[in-house]
Amino acid sequence: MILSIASGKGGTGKTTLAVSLALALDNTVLLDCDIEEPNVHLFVQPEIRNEQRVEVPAPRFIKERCTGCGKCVEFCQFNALALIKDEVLIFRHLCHNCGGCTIVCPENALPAEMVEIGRLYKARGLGGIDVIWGAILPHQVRGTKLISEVKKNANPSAITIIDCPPGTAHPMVKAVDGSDFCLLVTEPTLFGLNDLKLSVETLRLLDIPCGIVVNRSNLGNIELIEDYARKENIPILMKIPYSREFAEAYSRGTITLAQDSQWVAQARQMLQTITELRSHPQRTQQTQQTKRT
Amino acid sequence: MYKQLTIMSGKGGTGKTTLTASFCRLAQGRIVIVDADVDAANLHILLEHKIEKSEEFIGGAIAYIDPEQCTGCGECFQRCQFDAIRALNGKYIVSERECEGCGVCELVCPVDAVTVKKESVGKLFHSITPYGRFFHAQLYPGGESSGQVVTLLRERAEDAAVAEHKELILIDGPPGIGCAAVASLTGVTKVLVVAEPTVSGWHDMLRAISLADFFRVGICVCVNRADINPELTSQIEQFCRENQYQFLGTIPQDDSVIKAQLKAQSVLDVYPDSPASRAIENIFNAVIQEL
Ligand code: SF4
Ligand code: SF4
Ligand code: SF4
Ligand code: SF4
Repeated sequence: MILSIASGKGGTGKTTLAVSLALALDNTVLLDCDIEEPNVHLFVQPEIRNEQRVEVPAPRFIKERCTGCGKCVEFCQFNALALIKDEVLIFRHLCHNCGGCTIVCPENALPAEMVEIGRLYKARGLGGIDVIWGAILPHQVRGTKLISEVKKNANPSAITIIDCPPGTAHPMVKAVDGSDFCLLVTEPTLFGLNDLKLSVETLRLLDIPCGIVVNRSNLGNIELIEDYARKENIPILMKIPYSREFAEAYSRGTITLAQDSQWVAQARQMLQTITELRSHPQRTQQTQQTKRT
Repeated sequence: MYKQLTIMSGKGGTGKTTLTASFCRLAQGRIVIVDADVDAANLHILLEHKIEKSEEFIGGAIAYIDPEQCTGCGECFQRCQFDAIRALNGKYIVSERECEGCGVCELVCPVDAVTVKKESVGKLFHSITPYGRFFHAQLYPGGESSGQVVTLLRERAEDAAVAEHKELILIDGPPGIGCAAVASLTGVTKVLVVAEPTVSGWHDMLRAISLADFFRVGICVCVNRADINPELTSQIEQFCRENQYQFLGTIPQDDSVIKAQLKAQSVLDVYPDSPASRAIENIFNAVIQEL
Protein backbone atom coordinates (compact mmCIF):
# COMPACT_ATOMS: atom_id res chain seq x y z
CA MET A 1 0.00 0.00 0.00
CA ILE A 2 1.16 3.49 -0.75
CA LEU A 3 0.18 5.91 1.97
CA SER A 4 1.04 9.51 1.22
CA ILE A 5 1.19 12.31 3.76
CA ALA A 6 0.41 15.77 2.46
CA SER A 7 -0.60 19.20 3.64
CA GLY A 8 -1.50 22.49 2.04
CA LYS A 9 1.47 24.23 3.56
CA GLY A 10 4.67 23.28 5.29
CA GLY A 11 5.16 23.29 9.02
CA THR A 12 1.97 21.43 9.89
CA GLY A 13 3.72 18.28 11.09
CA LYS A 14 3.78 16.27 7.87
CA THR A 15 7.31 15.04 8.46
CA THR A 16 6.59 14.25 12.10
CA LEU A 17 3.67 12.06 11.08
CA ALA A 18 5.54 10.36 8.24
CA VAL A 19 8.51 9.47 10.42
CA SER A 20 6.36 8.39 13.36
CA LEU A 21 4.15 6.14 11.24
CA ALA A 22 7.18 4.58 9.57
CA LEU A 23 8.54 3.73 13.02
CA ALA A 24 5.25 2.65 14.59
CA LEU A 25 3.92 0.38 11.84
CA ASP A 26 5.45 -2.88 10.65
CA ASN A 27 7.11 -3.40 7.30
CA THR A 28 7.44 0.21 6.18
CA VAL A 29 9.49 2.08 3.62
CA LEU A 30 9.81 5.83 3.98
CA LEU A 31 10.12 8.08 0.90
CA ASP A 32 10.72 11.80 1.24
CA CYS A 33 9.42 13.51 -1.91
CA ASP A 34 9.62 16.99 -0.38
CA ILE A 35 12.74 17.52 -2.44
CA GLU A 36 13.00 21.27 -1.97
CA GLU A 37 13.20 20.82 1.77
CA PRO A 38 13.89 17.17 2.54
CA ASN A 39 13.85 16.88 6.31
CA VAL A 40 12.87 13.29 7.02
CA HIS A 41 16.48 12.14 7.13
CA LEU A 42 17.25 14.59 9.92
CA PHE A 43 15.10 12.53 12.26
CA VAL A 44 15.97 8.93 11.40
CA GLN A 45 19.76 8.79 11.88
CA PRO A 46 20.27 7.44 8.39
CA GLU A 47 23.19 5.30 7.38
CA ILE A 48 23.56 6.20 3.70
CA ARG A 49 24.13 3.17 1.50
CA ASN A 50 23.84 4.73 -1.88
CA GLU A 51 24.07 8.25 -3.27
CA GLN A 52 23.23 8.90 -6.89
CA ARG A 53 23.37 11.92 -9.16
CA VAL A 54 20.11 12.54 -10.99
CA GLU A 55 20.73 14.13 -14.36
CA VAL A 56 18.76 15.57 -17.24
CA PRO A 57 19.89 16.66 -20.70
CA ALA A 58 20.53 20.40 -21.00
CA PRO A 59 21.58 22.46 -24.01
CA ARG A 60 25.14 23.76 -24.28
CA PHE A 61 25.80 26.63 -26.68
CA ILE A 62 28.55 26.35 -29.28
CA LYS A 63 29.15 29.84 -30.59
CA GLU A 64 31.22 28.86 -33.65
CA ARG A 65 28.30 26.93 -35.15
CA CYS A 66 25.55 29.49 -34.53
CA THR A 67 24.31 31.59 -37.44
CA GLY A 68 22.03 33.72 -35.28
CA CYS A 69 18.83 32.55 -37.00
CA GLY A 70 16.83 32.80 -33.76
CA LYS A 71 14.82 29.61 -34.25
CA CYS A 72 15.76 28.26 -30.81
CA VAL A 73 14.64 31.46 -29.06
CA GLU A 74 11.39 31.44 -30.94
CA PHE A 75 10.74 27.82 -29.99
CA CYS A 76 11.50 27.88 -26.25
CA GLN A 77 8.19 27.96 -24.38
CA PHE A 78 9.85 28.93 -21.13
CA ASN A 79 11.73 32.06 -22.24
CA ALA A 80 14.96 30.40 -21.23
CA LEU A 81 16.86 31.57 -24.31
CA ALA A 82 17.80 35.01 -25.61
CA LEU A 83 19.74 36.04 -28.69
CA ILE A 84 22.00 38.93 -27.83
CA LYS A 85 24.10 40.16 -30.74
CA ASP A 86 25.33 36.87 -32.20
CA GLU A 87 25.24 34.86 -29.03
CA VAL A 88 22.52 32.70 -27.48
CA LEU A 89 22.20 33.07 -23.71
CA ILE A 90 20.73 30.18 -21.75
CA PHE A 91 18.96 31.09 -18.51
CA ARG A 92 19.51 27.87 -16.62
CA HIS A 93 16.95 28.60 -13.91
CA LEU A 94 14.19 28.92 -16.51
CA CYS A 95 15.17 25.95 -18.70
CA HIS A 96 12.88 22.91 -18.36
CA ASN A 97 15.29 20.66 -20.26
CA CYS A 98 12.69 19.77 -22.85
CA GLY A 99 15.30 19.26 -25.56
CA GLY A 100 13.37 21.34 -28.08
CA CYS A 101 16.13 23.84 -28.89
CA THR A 102 18.56 21.00 -29.54
CA ILE A 103 16.14 19.57 -32.11
CA VAL A 104 15.14 22.86 -33.68
CA CYS A 105 18.64 24.29 -34.24
CA PRO A 106 19.61 23.69 -37.88
CA GLU A 107 23.34 24.06 -37.12
CA ASN A 108 23.54 21.69 -34.15
CA ALA A 109 24.78 24.61 -32.08
CA LEU A 110 22.84 23.57 -28.97
CA PRO A 111 23.80 19.95 -28.33
CA ALA A 112 22.48 18.34 -25.18
CA GLU A 113 24.72 17.30 -22.32
CA MET A 114 23.76 15.76 -19.02
CA VAL A 115 23.61 18.10 -16.01
CA GLU A 116 22.89 17.28 -12.41
CA ILE A 117 19.58 18.44 -10.94
CA GLY A 118 19.93 16.81 -7.56
CA ARG A 119 20.82 13.73 -5.58
CA LEU A 120 19.00 10.58 -4.64
CA TYR A 121 19.88 8.99 -1.32
CA LYS A 122 19.10 5.50 -0.10
CA ALA A 123 19.68 4.75 3.54
CA ARG A 124 18.85 2.48 6.41
CA GLY A 125 17.43 4.44 9.31
CA LEU A 126 16.21 4.03 12.89
CA GLY A 127 14.49 0.71 13.50
CA GLY A 128 16.06 -0.69 10.31
CA ILE A 129 13.62 1.05 7.97
CA ASP A 130 14.58 1.90 4.41
CA VAL A 131 14.60 5.65 3.91
CA ILE A 132 14.91 7.18 0.46
CA TRP A 133 14.99 10.87 -0.27
CA GLY A 134 15.87 13.33 -2.98
CA ALA A 135 17.51 16.71 -2.59
CA ILE A 136 17.16 19.14 -5.48
CA LEU A 137 19.82 21.72 -6.23
CA PRO A 138 18.68 25.32 -5.68
CA HIS A 139 16.81 27.14 -8.48
CA GLN A 140 16.20 23.93 -10.42
CA VAL A 141 12.88 23.57 -12.18
CA ARG A 142 12.95 19.83 -12.80
CA GLY A 143 11.85 18.78 -9.35
CA THR A 144 9.21 16.43 -10.70
CA LYS A 145 11.91 14.33 -12.39
CA LEU A 146 13.63 13.82 -9.05
CA ILE A 147 10.30 13.04 -7.39
CA SER A 148 9.71 10.24 -9.93
CA GLU A 149 13.16 8.85 -9.15
CA VAL A 150 12.36 8.77 -5.42
CA LYS A 151 8.99 7.15 -6.10
CA LYS A 152 10.55 4.32 -8.08
CA ASN A 153 11.60 2.97 -4.68
CA ALA A 154 8.05 2.33 -3.52
CA ASN A 155 7.72 -1.24 -2.34
CA PRO A 156 4.41 -2.89 -3.25
CA SER A 157 4.74 -5.59 -0.61
CA ALA A 158 5.35 -3.10 2.20
CA ILE A 159 3.63 0.02 3.46
CA THR A 160 5.29 2.79 1.50
CA ILE A 161 4.95 6.09 3.31
CA ILE A 162 5.49 9.18 1.16
CA ASP A 163 6.19 12.60 2.63
CA CYS A 164 4.87 14.92 -0.11
CA PRO A 165 5.87 18.48 -0.96
CA PRO A 166 3.54 21.15 0.47
CA GLY A 167 0.93 22.94 -1.62
CA THR A 168 -1.24 21.69 -4.46
CA ALA A 169 0.98 22.51 -7.43
CA HIS A 170 2.67 20.12 -9.82
CA PRO A 171 5.27 18.66 -7.39
CA MET A 172 2.59 17.71 -4.84
CA VAL A 173 0.44 16.15 -7.55
CA LYS A 174 3.42 14.21 -8.87
CA ALA A 175 4.25 12.91 -5.39
CA VAL A 176 0.72 11.94 -4.38
CA ASP A 177 -0.34 10.47 -7.73
CA GLY A 178 -0.83 6.72 -7.57
CA SER A 179 -1.27 6.61 -3.78
CA ASP A 180 -3.86 4.27 -2.31
CA PHE A 181 -4.70 6.70 0.44
CA CYS A 182 -3.63 10.16 1.48
CA LEU A 183 -3.44 11.56 5.00
CA LEU A 184 -3.90 15.32 5.06
CA VAL A 185 -2.19 16.93 8.01
CA THR A 186 -3.68 20.21 9.13
CA GLU A 187 -3.99 22.56 12.09
CA PRO A 188 -7.21 23.85 13.65
CA THR A 189 -6.64 27.39 12.40
CA LEU A 190 -8.02 29.45 9.53
CA PHE A 191 -4.79 28.90 7.59
CA GLY A 192 -5.04 25.19 8.22
CA LEU A 193 -8.65 25.05 7.05
CA ASN A 194 -7.98 27.09 3.92
CA ASP A 195 -5.03 24.89 2.91
CA LEU A 196 -6.97 21.72 3.75
CA LYS A 197 -9.80 22.69 1.40
CA LEU A 198 -7.37 23.18 -1.48
CA SER A 199 -5.71 19.82 -0.80
CA VAL A 200 -9.05 18.00 -0.69
CA GLU A 201 -10.06 19.53 -4.02
CA THR A 202 -6.80 18.35 -5.56
CA LEU A 203 -7.13 14.80 -4.24
CA ARG A 204 -10.67 14.59 -5.57
CA LEU A 205 -9.44 15.51 -9.01
CA LEU A 206 -6.92 12.70 -8.69
CA ASP A 207 -9.48 10.24 -7.28
CA ILE A 208 -7.42 9.48 -4.20
CA PRO A 209 -9.34 8.80 -0.98
CA CYS A 210 -8.21 10.80 2.02
CA GLY A 211 -8.49 11.26 5.76
CA ILE A 212 -7.53 14.11 8.05
CA VAL A 213 -4.97 14.25 10.82
CA VAL A 214 -5.26 17.33 13.02
CA ASN A 215 -1.94 18.34 14.51
CA ARG A 216 -1.68 20.70 17.49
CA SER A 217 -5.34 19.84 17.89
CA ASN A 218 -5.62 21.60 21.23
CA LEU A 219 -4.36 24.94 19.90
CA GLY A 220 -6.86 26.95 17.92
CA ASN A 221 -10.41 25.89 17.24
CA ILE A 222 -10.96 22.22 16.43
CA GLU A 223 -14.56 22.85 15.35
CA LEU A 224 -13.30 24.61 12.25
CA ILE A 225 -11.91 21.32 10.99
CA GLU A 226 -14.65 19.11 12.44
CA ASP A 227 -17.43 21.07 10.77
CA TYR A 228 -15.67 21.00 7.44
CA ALA A 229 -14.89 17.28 7.69
CA ARG A 230 -18.51 16.48 8.52
CA LYS A 231 -19.83 18.57 5.67
CA GLU A 232 -17.46 16.99 3.18
CA ASN A 233 -17.77 13.50 4.63
CA ILE A 234 -14.07 13.04 5.22
CA PRO A 235 -12.98 11.07 8.28
CA ILE A 236 -10.80 12.70 10.92
CA LEU A 237 -8.48 9.79 11.65
CA MET A 238 -6.26 11.23 14.34
CA LYS A 239 -5.73 14.21 16.58
CA ILE A 240 -2.28 15.00 17.90
CA PRO A 241 -2.29 17.55 20.71
CA TYR A 242 0.50 20.10 21.09
CA SER A 243 2.99 19.40 23.80
CA ARG A 244 5.78 21.77 24.69
CA GLU A 245 7.94 18.80 25.63
CA PHE A 246 7.44 17.25 22.22
CA ALA A 247 8.15 20.56 20.46
CA GLU A 248 11.42 20.94 22.36
CA ALA A 249 12.51 17.39 21.54
CA TYR A 250 11.61 18.02 17.89
CA SER A 251 13.68 21.19 17.87
CA ARG A 252 16.69 19.05 18.84
CA GLY A 253 16.03 16.58 16.04
CA THR A 254 14.12 13.87 17.90
CA ILE A 255 10.58 12.78 17.13
CA THR A 256 9.25 11.07 20.22
CA LEU A 257 5.72 10.23 19.10
CA ALA A 258 6.53 6.62 18.21
CA GLN A 259 8.00 6.04 21.68
CA ASP A 260 4.56 6.52 23.17
CA SER A 261 2.88 3.11 23.25
CA GLN A 262 -0.56 4.68 23.36
CA TRP A 263 0.15 6.60 20.20
CA VAL A 264 1.55 3.50 18.48
CA ALA A 265 -1.72 1.70 19.28
CA GLN A 266 -3.60 4.64 17.77
CA ALA A 267 -1.46 4.53 14.65
CA ARG A 268 -2.14 0.80 14.19
CA GLN A 269 -5.83 1.43 14.67
CA MET A 270 -5.69 4.16 12.06
CA LEU A 271 -4.03 1.81 9.58
CA GLN A 272 -6.84 -0.65 10.22
CA THR A 273 -9.42 2.05 9.53
CA ILE A 274 -7.67 3.07 6.34
CA THR A 275 -7.63 -0.53 5.13
CA GLU A 276 -11.35 -0.80 5.84
CA LEU A 277 -12.11 2.49 4.13
CA ARG A 278 -10.32 1.22 1.06
CA SER A 279 -12.10 -2.12 0.96
CA HIS A 280 -15.55 -0.53 1.32
CA PRO A 281 -16.00 1.24 -1.97
CA GLN A 282 -19.33 2.75 -0.85
CA ARG A 283 -17.66 4.71 1.85
CA THR A 284 -14.91 5.81 -0.43
CA GLN A 285 -17.51 6.72 -2.96
CA GLN A 286 -19.29 8.80 -0.39
CA THR A 287 -16.18 10.78 0.30
CA GLN A 288 -15.91 11.40 -3.40
CA GLN A 289 -19.51 12.31 -3.98
CA THR A 290 -18.88 15.98 -4.44
CA LYS A 291 -16.10 15.31 -6.90
CA ARG A 292 -15.63 18.28 -9.20
CA THR A 293 -14.91 18.08 -12.85
CA MET B 1 11.73 54.94 -6.11
CA TYR B 2 10.20 52.14 -4.09
CA LYS B 3 12.09 49.42 -2.23
CA GLN B 4 11.14 45.76 -2.05
CA LEU B 5 11.26 43.42 0.92
CA THR B 6 10.58 39.68 0.62
CA ILE B 7 9.77 37.67 3.72
CA MET B 8 10.93 34.08 3.31
CA SER B 9 11.44 31.02 5.42
CA GLY B 10 12.57 27.99 3.45
CA LYS B 11 9.37 26.26 4.51
CA GLY B 12 5.87 27.16 5.63
CA GLY B 13 4.58 27.33 9.16
CA THR B 14 7.31 29.53 10.59
CA GLY B 15 5.02 32.51 11.12
CA LYS B 16 6.00 34.29 7.92
CA THR B 17 2.45 35.29 7.02
CA THR B 18 1.67 36.54 10.52
CA LEU B 19 4.79 38.65 10.37
CA THR B 20 3.90 40.02 6.94
CA ALA B 21 0.37 40.92 8.04
CA SER B 22 1.74 42.69 11.10
CA PHE B 23 4.24 44.60 8.96
CA CYS B 24 1.36 45.71 6.74
CA ARG B 25 -0.24 47.36 9.70
CA LEU B 26 3.00 48.98 10.83
CA ALA B 27 3.69 50.36 7.36
CA GLN B 28 0.10 51.41 6.72
CA GLY B 29 -0.36 53.76 3.79
CA ARG B 30 3.22 53.48 2.57
CA ILE B 31 3.11 50.04 0.97
CA VAL B 32 1.92 47.77 -1.78
CA ILE B 33 1.46 44.13 -0.71
CA VAL B 34 2.10 40.92 -2.65
CA ASP B 35 1.23 37.38 -1.57
CA ALA B 36 3.83 35.38 -3.49
CA ASP B 37 3.08 32.19 -1.56
CA VAL B 38 0.71 31.33 -4.39
CA ASP B 39 0.54 27.60 -3.66
CA ALA B 40 -0.72 28.11 -0.12
CA ALA B 41 -1.96 31.68 -0.17
CA ASN B 42 -3.05 32.72 3.31
CA LEU B 43 -2.26 36.40 3.65
CA HIS B 44 -5.73 37.36 2.40
CA ILE B 45 -7.18 35.66 5.48
CA LEU B 46 -5.40 38.11 7.79
CA LEU B 47 -5.88 41.24 5.68
CA GLU B 48 -9.28 42.82 5.46
CA HIS B 49 -9.56 43.37 1.72
CA LYS B 50 -11.90 44.07 -1.12
CA ILE B 51 -11.25 42.52 -4.51
CA GLU B 52 -11.52 45.26 -7.12
CA LYS B 53 -10.54 43.29 -10.16
CA SER B 54 -9.58 39.77 -11.10
CA GLU B 55 -7.81 38.48 -14.19
CA GLU B 56 -7.39 34.98 -15.57
CA PHE B 57 -3.79 33.94 -15.69
CA ILE B 58 -2.91 32.19 -18.92
CA GLY B 59 0.12 30.16 -18.07
CA GLY B 60 1.27 26.70 -18.94
CA ALA B 61 0.24 24.99 -22.13
CA ILE B 62 -0.99 21.47 -22.79
CA ALA B 63 -0.54 19.32 -25.86
CA TYR B 64 -3.36 17.52 -27.59
CA ILE B 65 -2.98 14.73 -30.16
CA ASP B 66 -5.72 14.42 -32.73
CA PRO B 67 -6.46 10.68 -32.91
CA GLU B 68 -7.79 11.07 -36.46
CA GLN B 69 -4.43 12.28 -37.70
CA CYS B 70 -2.02 10.34 -35.48
CA THR B 71 -0.33 7.51 -37.39
CA GLY B 72 1.18 6.01 -34.26
CA CYS B 73 4.78 6.52 -35.34
CA GLY B 74 5.85 7.12 -31.74
CA GLU B 75 8.21 9.99 -32.50
CA CYS B 76 6.58 12.26 -29.90
CA PHE B 77 6.69 9.48 -27.31
CA GLN B 78 10.45 9.07 -27.88
CA ARG B 79 11.15 12.76 -27.56
CA CYS B 80 8.95 13.87 -24.66
CA GLN B 81 11.25 14.45 -21.69
CA PHE B 82 8.38 14.42 -19.21
CA ASP B 83 6.91 10.96 -19.80
CA ALA B 84 3.67 12.69 -20.72
CA ILE B 85 2.88 10.63 -23.81
CA ARG B 86 1.29 7.20 -23.52
CA ALA B 87 0.56 4.51 -26.07
CA LEU B 88 -3.11 3.65 -26.48
CA ASN B 89 -4.53 1.26 -29.08
CA GLY B 90 -1.74 1.77 -31.57
CA LYS B 91 -1.88 5.54 -31.23
CA TYR B 92 -0.56 7.98 -28.67
CA ILE B 93 -2.25 10.27 -26.18
CA VAL B 94 -1.08 13.06 -23.88
CA SER B 95 -1.42 12.72 -20.13
CA GLU B 96 -2.43 16.22 -19.08
CA ARG B 97 -1.10 15.70 -15.59
CA GLU B 98 2.49 15.27 -16.75
CA CYS B 99 2.51 17.54 -19.81
CA GLU B 100 4.56 20.69 -19.34
CA GLY B 101 3.56 22.24 -22.64
CA CYS B 102 7.09 22.41 -24.02
CA GLY B 103 5.93 21.90 -27.62
CA VAL B 104 8.50 19.26 -28.56
CA CYS B 105 5.83 16.76 -29.63
CA GLU B 106 4.31 19.34 -31.95
CA LEU B 107 7.76 20.05 -33.33
CA VAL B 108 8.62 16.44 -34.12
CA CYS B 109 5.25 15.11 -35.31
CA PRO B 110 5.61 14.34 -39.03
CA VAL B 111 1.87 14.68 -39.74
CA ASP B 112 0.93 17.74 -37.65
CA ALA B 113 -1.34 15.74 -35.39
CA VAL B 114 -0.39 17.76 -32.30
CA THR B 115 -1.59 21.14 -31.12
CA VAL B 116 -0.31 22.87 -28.00
CA LYS B 117 -2.76 25.23 -26.37
CA LYS B 118 -2.24 27.73 -23.62
CA GLU B 119 -4.64 27.40 -20.78
CA SER B 120 -5.81 29.33 -17.76
CA VAL B 121 -3.97 28.17 -14.65
CA GLY B 122 -5.48 30.46 -12.07
CA LYS B 123 -6.75 33.89 -11.12
CA LEU B 124 -4.94 37.05 -10.16
CA PHE B 125 -6.65 39.46 -7.78
CA HIS B 126 -6.22 43.21 -7.45
CA SER B 127 -7.45 44.09 -3.97
CA ILE B 128 -7.54 47.07 -1.73
CA THR B 129 -6.82 46.92 2.02
CA PRO B 130 -6.70 49.62 4.72
CA TYR B 131 -2.90 49.41 4.44
CA GLY B 132 -2.43 49.65 0.70
CA ARG B 133 -3.06 47.80 -2.54
CA PHE B 134 -2.78 44.04 -2.38
CA PHE B 135 -2.02 41.60 -5.20
CA HIS B 136 -2.71 37.92 -4.71
CA ALA B 137 -3.61 34.83 -6.69
CA GLN B 138 -5.34 31.53 -6.59
CA LEU B 139 -3.98 28.71 -8.73
CA TYR B 140 -5.86 25.67 -9.92
CA PRO B 141 -4.55 22.32 -8.60
CA GLY B 142 -1.56 20.76 -10.29
CA GLY B 143 -0.32 24.04 -11.75
CA GLU B 144 3.17 24.35 -13.15
CA SER B 145 3.41 28.08 -13.31
CA SER B 146 3.87 29.38 -9.78
CA GLY B 147 7.03 31.23 -10.79
CA GLN B 148 5.33 33.03 -13.67
CA VAL B 149 2.39 34.02 -11.48
CA VAL B 150 4.72 35.47 -8.88
CA THR B 151 6.52 37.47 -11.57
CA LEU B 152 3.22 38.83 -12.83
CA LEU B 153 1.99 39.71 -9.32
CA ARG B 154 5.21 41.61 -8.73
CA GLU B 155 4.86 43.50 -12.01
CA ARG B 156 1.35 44.58 -11.05
CA ALA B 157 2.61 45.67 -7.64
CA GLU B 158 5.48 47.63 -9.18
CA ASP B 159 3.07 49.48 -11.45
CA ALA B 160 0.89 50.34 -8.47
CA ALA B 161 3.89 51.46 -6.39
CA VAL B 162 5.02 53.81 -9.16
CA ALA B 163 1.53 55.18 -9.83
CA GLU B 164 0.81 55.87 -6.17
CA HIS B 165 4.32 56.84 -5.07
CA LYS B 166 4.59 54.13 -2.43
CA GLU B 167 7.85 53.53 -0.58
CA LEU B 168 7.81 49.80 -0.21
CA ILE B 169 6.56 46.59 -1.80
CA LEU B 170 6.11 43.94 0.87
CA ILE B 171 6.24 40.39 -0.48
CA ASP B 172 5.10 37.33 1.46
CA GLY B 173 7.38 34.72 -0.11
CA PRO B 174 6.75 31.06 -0.89
CA PRO B 175 8.46 28.11 0.77
CA GLY B 176 11.12 26.07 -0.96
CA ILE B 177 13.96 26.89 -3.32
CA GLY B 178 12.23 26.38 -6.68
CA CYS B 179 10.78 28.65 -9.38
CA ALA B 180 8.36 30.51 -7.13
CA ALA B 181 11.02 31.25 -4.53
CA VAL B 182 13.41 32.47 -7.23
CA ALA B 183 10.72 34.66 -8.78
CA SER B 184 9.90 36.25 -5.44
CA LEU B 185 13.43 37.31 -4.59
CA THR B 186 15.15 38.35 -7.80
CA GLY B 187 15.86 42.06 -7.76
CA VAL B 188 14.43 42.84 -4.31
CA THR B 189 16.16 45.22 -1.93
CA LYS B 190 16.35 42.80 1.00
CA VAL B 191 15.15 39.39 2.08
CA LEU B 192 14.01 38.78 5.63
CA VAL B 193 14.37 35.10 6.52
CA VAL B 194 12.09 33.94 9.31
CA ALA B 195 13.84 31.00 10.93
CA GLU B 196 12.67 28.50 13.50
CA PRO B 197 15.10 27.17 16.09
CA THR B 198 14.67 23.49 15.23
CA VAL B 199 17.05 21.11 13.51
CA SER B 200 14.90 21.07 10.39
CA GLY B 201 14.27 24.83 10.64
CA TRP B 202 18.04 25.36 10.67
CA HIS B 203 18.42 23.45 7.39
CA ASP B 204 15.45 25.27 5.86
CA MET B 205 17.04 28.58 6.80
CA LEU B 206 20.40 27.61 5.28
CA ARG B 207 18.66 26.67 2.02
CA ALA B 208 16.75 29.97 1.90
CA ILE B 209 19.95 31.90 2.60
CA SER B 210 21.95 30.08 -0.05
CA LEU B 211 19.25 30.85 -2.60
CA ALA B 212 19.21 34.55 -1.68
CA ASP B 213 23.01 34.61 -1.76
CA PHE B 214 23.00 33.06 -5.21
CA PHE B 215 20.89 35.94 -6.48
CA ARG B 216 23.01 38.42 -4.49
CA VAL B 217 20.17 39.78 -2.39
CA GLY B 218 20.99 41.25 1.03
CA ILE B 219 19.83 39.02 3.89
CA CYS B 220 18.30 39.76 7.29
CA VAL B 221 17.29 37.03 9.71
CA CYS B 222 14.90 36.80 12.64
CA VAL B 223 13.91 33.80 14.75
CA ASN B 224 10.32 32.94 15.58
CA ARG B 225 9.35 30.85 18.62
CA ALA B 226 12.89 31.48 19.82
CA ASP B 227 12.33 30.08 23.31
CA ILE B 228 11.57 26.57 22.01
CA ASN B 229 15.30 26.05 21.72
CA PRO B 230 17.45 28.88 23.12
CA GLU B 231 20.75 27.16 22.23
CA LEU B 232 19.84 26.82 18.58
CA THR B 233 18.57 30.40 18.59
CA SER B 234 21.96 31.65 19.73
CA GLN B 235 23.62 29.37 17.19
CA ILE B 236 21.58 31.08 14.46
CA GLU B 237 22.47 34.50 15.83
CA GLN B 238 26.15 33.62 15.89
CA PHE B 239 26.01 32.15 12.41
CA CYS B 240 24.55 35.43 11.16
CA ARG B 241 27.22 37.49 12.87
CA GLU B 242 30.01 35.36 11.43
CA ASN B 243 28.62 35.51 7.92
CA GLN B 244 27.59 39.15 7.98
CA TYR B 245 23.87 38.59 7.72
CA GLN B 246 21.87 41.10 9.76
CA PHE B 247 20.31 39.41 12.76
CA LEU B 248 17.25 41.46 13.63
CA GLY B 249 15.90 39.77 16.73
CA THR B 250 13.64 37.07 18.06
CA ILE B 251 9.91 36.51 18.57
CA PRO B 252 8.76 34.39 21.51
CA GLN B 253 6.22 31.58 21.31
CA ASP B 254 2.96 33.38 22.14
CA ASP B 255 -0.58 31.98 22.15
CA SER B 256 -2.01 35.36 21.17
CA VAL B 257 -0.74 34.75 17.62
CA ILE B 258 -3.14 31.83 17.10
CA LYS B 259 -5.95 33.58 18.97
CA ALA B 260 -5.67 36.57 16.66
CA GLN B 261 -5.44 34.35 13.60
CA LEU B 262 -8.72 32.66 14.55
CA LYS B 263 -10.28 36.11 14.40
CA ALA B 264 -8.77 36.52 10.93
CA GLN B 265 -6.46 39.26 12.12
CA SER B 266 -2.78 39.69 12.78
CA VAL B 267 -1.53 39.55 16.35
CA LEU B 268 -0.73 43.25 16.16
CA ASP B 269 -4.35 44.08 15.34
CA VAL B 270 -5.81 42.27 18.32
CA TYR B 271 -3.09 42.10 20.96
CA PRO B 272 -0.78 45.03 20.34
CA ASP B 273 0.79 44.68 23.80
CA SER B 274 1.49 40.95 23.65
CA PRO B 275 5.14 39.80 23.73
CA ALA B 276 4.94 38.65 20.10
CA SER B 277 3.56 42.01 18.91
CA ARG B 278 6.26 43.98 20.65
CA ALA B 279 8.95 41.74 19.24
CA ILE B 280 7.50 42.07 15.75
CA GLU B 281 7.46 45.85 16.06
CA ASN B 282 11.15 45.87 17.00
CA ILE B 283 12.01 43.67 14.04
CA PHE B 284 9.98 45.90 11.75
CA ASN B 285 11.84 49.00 12.92
CA ALA B 286 15.15 47.22 12.45
CA VAL B 287 14.35 45.98 8.96
CA ILE B 288 13.22 49.45 7.83
CA GLN B 289 16.66 50.73 8.90
CA GLU B 290 18.27 48.09 6.72
CA LEU B 291 16.42 48.97 3.54
S1 SF4 C 1 15.84 22.73 -23.46
FE1 SF4 C 1 13.75 23.48 -23.77
S2 SF4 C 1 13.42 24.83 -22.05
FE2 SF4 C 1 15.61 24.52 -22.16
S3 SF4 C 1 16.32 26.21 -23.39
FE3 SF4 C 1 15.97 24.50 -24.79
S4 SF4 C 1 13.89 24.85 -25.54
FE4 SF4 C 1 14.13 26.11 -23.71
S1 SF4 D 1 18.76 27.90 -33.65
FE1 SF4 D 1 20.92 27.36 -33.61
S2 SF4 D 1 21.82 28.64 -35.19
FE2 SF4 D 1 19.82 29.50 -34.79
S3 SF4 D 1 20.20 31.05 -33.22
FE3 SF4 D 1 19.70 29.20 -32.13
S4 SF4 D 1 21.68 28.27 -31.73
FE4 SF4 D 1 22.04 29.80 -33.30
S1 SF4 E 1 4.16 19.40 -24.93
FE1 SF4 E 1 6.13 18.63 -24.18
S2 SF4 E 1 5.59 17.73 -22.21
FE2 SF4 E 1 3.67 17.98 -23.29
S3 SF4 E 1 3.39 16.03 -24.29
FE3 SF4 E 1 4.40 17.35 -25.76
S4 SF4 E 1 6.58 16.89 -25.51
FE4 SF4 E 1 5.54 16.09 -23.71
S1 SF4 F 1 4.54 12.04 -33.64
FE1 SF4 F 1 2.50 12.54 -34.39
S2 SF4 F 1 1.91 10.81 -35.64
FE2 SF4 F 1 3.67 10.16 -34.43
S3 SF4 F 1 2.75 9.19 -32.65
FE3 SF4 F 1 3.10 11.30 -32.10
S4 SF4 F 1 1.20 12.35 -32.62
FE4 SF4 F 1 1.12 10.38 -33.60
